[in-house]
Amino acid sequence: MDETVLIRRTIVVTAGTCGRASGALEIRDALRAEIDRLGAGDRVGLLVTGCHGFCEMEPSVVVQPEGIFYGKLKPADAAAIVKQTALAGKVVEKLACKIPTTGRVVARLEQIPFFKKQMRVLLENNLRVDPEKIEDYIRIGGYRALTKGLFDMTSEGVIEEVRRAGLRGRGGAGFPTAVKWGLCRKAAGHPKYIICNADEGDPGAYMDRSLLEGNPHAVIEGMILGAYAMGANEGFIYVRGEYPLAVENVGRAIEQARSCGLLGPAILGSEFHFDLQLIQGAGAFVSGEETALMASIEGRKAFPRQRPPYPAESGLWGKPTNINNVETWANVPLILDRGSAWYASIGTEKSKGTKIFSLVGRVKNTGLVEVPMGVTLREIIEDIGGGVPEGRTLKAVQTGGPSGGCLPAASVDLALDYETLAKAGSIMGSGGMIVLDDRTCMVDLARYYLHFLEEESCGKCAPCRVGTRLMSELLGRMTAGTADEADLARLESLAQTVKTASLCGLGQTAANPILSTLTHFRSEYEAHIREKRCPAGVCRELASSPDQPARPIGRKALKNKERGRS
Amino acid sequence: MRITIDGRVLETSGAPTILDAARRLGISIPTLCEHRRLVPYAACRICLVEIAGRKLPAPACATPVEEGMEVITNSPKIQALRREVLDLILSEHPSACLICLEKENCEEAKSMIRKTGEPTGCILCPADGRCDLQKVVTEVGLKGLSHPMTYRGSGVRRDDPFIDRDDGLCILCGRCVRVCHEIRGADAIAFVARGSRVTVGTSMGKRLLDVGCLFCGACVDVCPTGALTERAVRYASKFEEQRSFICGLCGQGCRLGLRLRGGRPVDVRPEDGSPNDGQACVKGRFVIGDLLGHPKRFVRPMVRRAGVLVETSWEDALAAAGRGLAEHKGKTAVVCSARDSCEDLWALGRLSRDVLHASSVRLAEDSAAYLLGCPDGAEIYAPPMTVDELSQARIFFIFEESLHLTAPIFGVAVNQALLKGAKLVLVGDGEYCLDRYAAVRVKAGPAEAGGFLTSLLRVLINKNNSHDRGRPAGFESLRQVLRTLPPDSPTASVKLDRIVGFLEKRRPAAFIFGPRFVAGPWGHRNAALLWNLAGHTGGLYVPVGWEANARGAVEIMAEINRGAFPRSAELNKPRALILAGPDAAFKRAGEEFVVALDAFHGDAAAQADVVLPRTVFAEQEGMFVNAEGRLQFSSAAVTPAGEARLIRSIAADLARALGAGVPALETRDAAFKDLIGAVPSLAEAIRIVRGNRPALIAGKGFAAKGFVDIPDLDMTFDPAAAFPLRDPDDYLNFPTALEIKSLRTARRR
Ligand SMILES: Cc1cc2nc3c(=O)[nH]c(=O)nc-3n(C[C@H](O)[C@H](O)[C@H](O)COP(=O)(O)O)c2cc1C
Ligand code: SF4
Ligand code: SF4
Ligand code: FES
Repeated sequence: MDETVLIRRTIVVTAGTCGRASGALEIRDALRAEIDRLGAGDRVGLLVTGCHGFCEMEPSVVVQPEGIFYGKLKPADAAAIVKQTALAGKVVEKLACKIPTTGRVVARLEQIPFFKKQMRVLLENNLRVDPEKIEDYIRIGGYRALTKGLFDMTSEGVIEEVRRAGLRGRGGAGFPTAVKWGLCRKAAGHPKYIICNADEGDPGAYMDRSLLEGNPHAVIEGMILGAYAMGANEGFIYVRGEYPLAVENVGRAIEQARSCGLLGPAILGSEFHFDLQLIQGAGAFVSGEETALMASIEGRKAFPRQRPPYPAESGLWGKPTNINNVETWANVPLILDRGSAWYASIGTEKSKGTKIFSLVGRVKNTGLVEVPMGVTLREIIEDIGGGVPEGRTLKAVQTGGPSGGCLPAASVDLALDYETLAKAGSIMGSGGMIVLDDRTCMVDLARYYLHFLEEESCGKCAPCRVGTRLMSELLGRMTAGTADEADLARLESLAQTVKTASLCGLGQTAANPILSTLTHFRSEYEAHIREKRCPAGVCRELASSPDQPARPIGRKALKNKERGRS
Repeated sequence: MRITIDGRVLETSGAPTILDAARRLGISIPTLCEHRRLVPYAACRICLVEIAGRKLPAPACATPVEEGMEVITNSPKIQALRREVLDLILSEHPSACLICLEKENCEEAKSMIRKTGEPTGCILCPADGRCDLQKVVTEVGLKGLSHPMTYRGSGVRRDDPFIDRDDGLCILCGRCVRVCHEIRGADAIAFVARGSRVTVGTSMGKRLLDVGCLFCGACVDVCPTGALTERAVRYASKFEEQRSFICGLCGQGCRLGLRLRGGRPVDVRPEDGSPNDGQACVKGRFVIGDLLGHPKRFVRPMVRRAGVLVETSWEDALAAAGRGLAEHKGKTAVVCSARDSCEDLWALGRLSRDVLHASSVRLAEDSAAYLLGCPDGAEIYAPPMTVDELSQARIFFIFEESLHLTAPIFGVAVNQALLKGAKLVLVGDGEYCLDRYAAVRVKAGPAEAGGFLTSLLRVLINKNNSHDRGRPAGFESLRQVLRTLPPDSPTASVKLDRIVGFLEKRRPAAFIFGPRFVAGPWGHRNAALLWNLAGHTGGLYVPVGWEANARGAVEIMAEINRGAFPRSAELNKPRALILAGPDAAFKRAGEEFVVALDAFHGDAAAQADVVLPRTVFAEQEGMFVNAEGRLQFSSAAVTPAGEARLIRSIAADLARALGAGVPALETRDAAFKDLIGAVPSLAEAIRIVRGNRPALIAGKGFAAKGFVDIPDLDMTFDPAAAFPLRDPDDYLNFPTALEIKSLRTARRR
């Protein structure tokens, strides 16, 4: 007891996949050694957690309780951090962030622009718990919501609470979660299953990974509550195999929850029983599609199937099944714990709560950002992201991953919610956000996505299988300067066919990258075709503006162009 | 439920799809990936229709109808969409001929050329004339193509028997993959790779032979294109007519269609409807053409002159046979085959009984599976049971049988039930194709299985949860007997617990066994145990006869043999023999005169004094009773090879040659009437045929018979005198059987 009183400060080392890749574990070891060397183990705590989102700054530490943040560390920095900050409470100026414009040092998290404008109800816990320890999660109030749900509420009550909170699916379509739960609850058939979709296949998106790595118990708690609400006794967490750390942490968390009586028979002594199984996917974009994912769990090839029937009616092994995204599940304990009124107070009229975006592309600060629904793109790009680099101008923002679309620079004042984004021709998707500056060629961008989709289409239905390939080839010809007007017409007609005739969401949205760039940047297509010119100077085969360096998106670009021509 | 399609209203019940509903209204919607017997797949997107209130068009084949639904199948928008989708599909399929302006004029010439490796148009494609893609192109009205052609093929694969595979023609409709899984349960083929590289293939690209393919041909039959074809057909021209017959190669009695060109067989296709409903097996599907025209067939009668068999005329041969047999009246034995039609068997039976006064008439094959349905054999045989009933069972006990090989259609029914969640208990000491589906595997051959069955029966009887209200006859005595038997070994009882657990939750059960399981000294005992188990659990008692007419033969032999033959030891040593059954093991031992009625040159016929060439199924009409107990009538699909005659005609000829014509055998109608008049169980079934139900042979079930005693092992059993257990693939010494057999043993499971 006395010992813990002595601990004055804790150094939090954020070691998600991103942190580890940049050396977080070496920093941890250096800190450990330093603390031991000084014999300060009784005064300085060391906590290894998941990712805080500011991935660009990794490896980094946060010294609590002050919240002093140091980024881009080297093991040699450990001595200063322990001695000056952890033991003496002083900021090490050379390690702290500076505001680029003024050069002012900002050491505390809430002062750093990247964090200042965020509302981190989900991500904040990533800094507070060691994902390997269920005690940590319980200490910060974890599983309180579960107790409340199980003992103070009926299962209908839980659904009602989620409905009042206005939670909508974070996996793409933004379907009201409570409606889905209600359908599954009412569906005839037994047993019922629930699934956590952690396949996260959008290129560049990793919010789900970060949640599972940093705070797996939040997802587990959400799922137990959901299972209770829907009357399911068996659940699956489907994690893509490329997320070894998430797999490890989730697996361990399930074991811990089981040994604490939070999973298994008679949860917390109630009459409710529920257990979870971890499934590793082989990592195909399409296995994130719900019916394909279920086929994969059943041990079949991850091919989607026609809906209806929807999973709520006939899902896993033909039984009523509910599937939600990682972030959706993680929101559930928050709603139950803090109340639907609190939750509904965040966001806009139809989109409630916060949303995590992975902010990448041409902004100064990249990483995971959690913001209340309804903030504008400008706030994210400029205030949090620090704007596009000097000398460049914002051209467009791509949201929603391969199924999403591009919003032109003129729409930066749009509020980010499901409806507004859809109206503007894009989607929220799972939260990918790529900032594009004037060096981006929109035709090349569309080609990149279509190539991705061509590779990732499952190949089951004819329009998508053949259509994505043909569209990708046509775009390849455009960027190679071998396309003509008829090709543009053919591209547009193909886009419509693939969109209307495809079987699953992948094909139905596969044309979005084309359609949205055509809407806002048609002139670029025309320049490629009529003038054989790439205005952004990206497409190598074409004449480029003199001041622009050529820079196609992705390595596959060239390969694809060759295919397009042959 | 009320729905509207193209302005026409349909009242439906059940939950059919839009496609079903449209078909009921006579509205045609083009389809490619849909197949009557397969789960909707919705991949080709040719059947898209508009539904009022829905944003996207929906595939008619996979969309269930809903109350008040309004569907439009043929708006200009939908027609255009279908053309676009087909345009996409055809960009991956050699399509020159499909959209050729000279298409119509070319039809005549097209049937001539087929000998090509990789078809580049219909003109060179083995599927020409039976291709669904051709039909859909016409139906959708596609006139031209707008995308560059992509050839996806990797060359024709020919490294397997019977089946050629050509990726270049595949449209990825998935019918083959689904039929292999959903219907046949072989799972030999699957989709491999993803996106534009996806193909239908095997695990690690192996040969079909090495991945558990049954060569049932189901994939070939459902393929809408020429991607999967029967090798033999690649080099034949279009068929001109298709004639239906009943396959005689096993006990399932599949209805097949023989496709002919210029009167010669080109191809065989399974037909729809009971019992096989579009399915067949490697034998029916791939070897019948060869079998009918095989070079080893007898096409003219032969007689032995100066020790050598020489061809001769029918008159001559019949006269020789008549002379020889006349010398041994009363001392002639007759061996018939359970593969022959009822009329044939009856004719041989009457010849033997009424003209030759034969010393014995028996089947060449072991019919114990049916006879032992009840130990007092001659009277009660196993009750009938349909494939449909079998597919409803929730737990299967299969004894010593590789169903996919010996009873492929029962195998299909079992597979479908297993996919729906039924459990399988597999008993036997070999390896079987169903091994991987077994929930419980009991390693016990026919000799050891009795112990397992006894224990199981005892546990069930002691639980006293008899399915039957009241105590069926024999219950108490059975309980007493079981009590005296020794207790189980602990390992056995673990398995028993699981099985009993299944049986409590799952009814009905089905107990499936073949001749192997009820042969030998333990045969009677095994059969009685199974009978009691099936009865006690209210399950199906399913003997699998291996021969085309095993059930009918049992009935007819019982009638012919009814008290007619003295069975003294002396008479059991016959002086003459009529060999009309396939007896590969036949060794002439002291018989002075042997007449063989045979279709193929072989060891048995080579020892005969007179060989009379007989027809085989598909060349003759007749009635067969299959393993279900279903009476089926087969017509002659082709003319007999050479001078071959029906067994029934040969019997009549021989009777005449012996100076005692039997008028009842002279025509088929007369023979049939005579037969029906004499065998009540057949007459009864025929009477029912008149109604709508399938004609099933009568057989007293458990309700009438009750429990039977469990006999001791038959210590008098003499293996030497017993029927040699033939491989079910032996057919009339037919050489191709050997090929199939070696093909199977190569990967015997
Ligand atoms: C091609 C495709 C890929 C998808 N990938 C994902 C994914 O990686 N993660 C996810 O949560 N949902 C994904 N979805 C959406 C799921 O199908 C499903 O709608 C979602 O998991 C439902 O969860 P929610 O209601 O919580 O949003 C994908 C959909 C499509 C069509
Ligand atoms: S739309 Fe694409 S991903 Fe979806 S089923 Fe069709 S081929 Fe597969
Ligand atoms: S081989 Fe034939 S049945 Fe199989 S997917 Fe291809 S076209 Fe369809
Ligand atoms: S027949 Fe309906 S989608 Fe293929």
